[in-house]
Amino acid sequence: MASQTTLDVTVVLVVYAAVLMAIAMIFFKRRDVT
Amino acid sequence: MGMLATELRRMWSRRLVKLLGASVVLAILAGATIGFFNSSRDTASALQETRAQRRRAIQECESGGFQFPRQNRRGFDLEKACRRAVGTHQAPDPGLDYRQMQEVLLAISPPLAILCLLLGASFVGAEWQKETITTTLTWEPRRARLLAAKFAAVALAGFAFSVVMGLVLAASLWPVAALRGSTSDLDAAWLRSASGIGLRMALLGGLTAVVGCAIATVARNTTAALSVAFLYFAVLEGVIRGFRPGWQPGLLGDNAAQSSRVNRWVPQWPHRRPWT
Repeated sequence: MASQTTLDVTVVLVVYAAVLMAIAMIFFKRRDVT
Repeated sequence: MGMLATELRRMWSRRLVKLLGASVVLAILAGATIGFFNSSRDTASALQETRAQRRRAIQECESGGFQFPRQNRRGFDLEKACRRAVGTHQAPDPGLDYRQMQEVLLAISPPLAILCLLLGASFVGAEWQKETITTTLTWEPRRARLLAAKFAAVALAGFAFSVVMGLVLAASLWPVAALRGSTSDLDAAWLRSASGIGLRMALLGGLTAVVGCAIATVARNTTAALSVAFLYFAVLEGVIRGFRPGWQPGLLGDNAAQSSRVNRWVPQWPHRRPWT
């Protein structure tokens, strides 16, 4: 962990957020809300 | 932009935001008050107290409280041995040094990130629970645009919440350090470093708010979203850490915890990729 840089951490966090947002978008677009 | 402004207004009008904000400000003020009464500029009495502690330790040693090896007792000087065993005591600084502000910011970063996750999860979870999402979708049927606006709004709200709380903390600890400690040696390098920590803390707040919002969009419920987040962070990541320690640099929780602390953009040489 000591060798991690800001770039490493940022990339991992952004990837997690992007994947979660994509999953949420897929669910949200397909869901029947009526 | 209009949709983003609407979502931001909705976020601002929520009771939870005000309640959480007020609770954190109260906690910070309570901490600053405790810090004020626990700090002092009286280094003489701190030094006196440390000397007294050292004297008591030596007395305890001389009265047989310490166990020394029983061989080679010839020429054994108990007083000298006790002084060597007790060693020197360093008097702690009784005042609050404002340079420690960076450590305080690092300490409040994880709880603030958790609160931002709650803010993000509740923002969408409440809409599903109260079924106002149907009304919103009647007004804006383009779902991708609507959800993107919600994500942008919670990211900005999480960022702003963390920035405001960091500034409140910095402002409330300043009088404590100015009156009961030290505010010296605060140069441009320190300010740059502290601002960097604050900025990373705020970015983490925005990101965890988005994560909470995304989970709540799938779960359609605040409680379910928080349960999923808890299960992931406390159970799943714990299991992975135990069975696959090499995967640790790729875990969300570990990276979130590291994000305020890491301060190097470029890897130091020789560099090893964290996941190899």
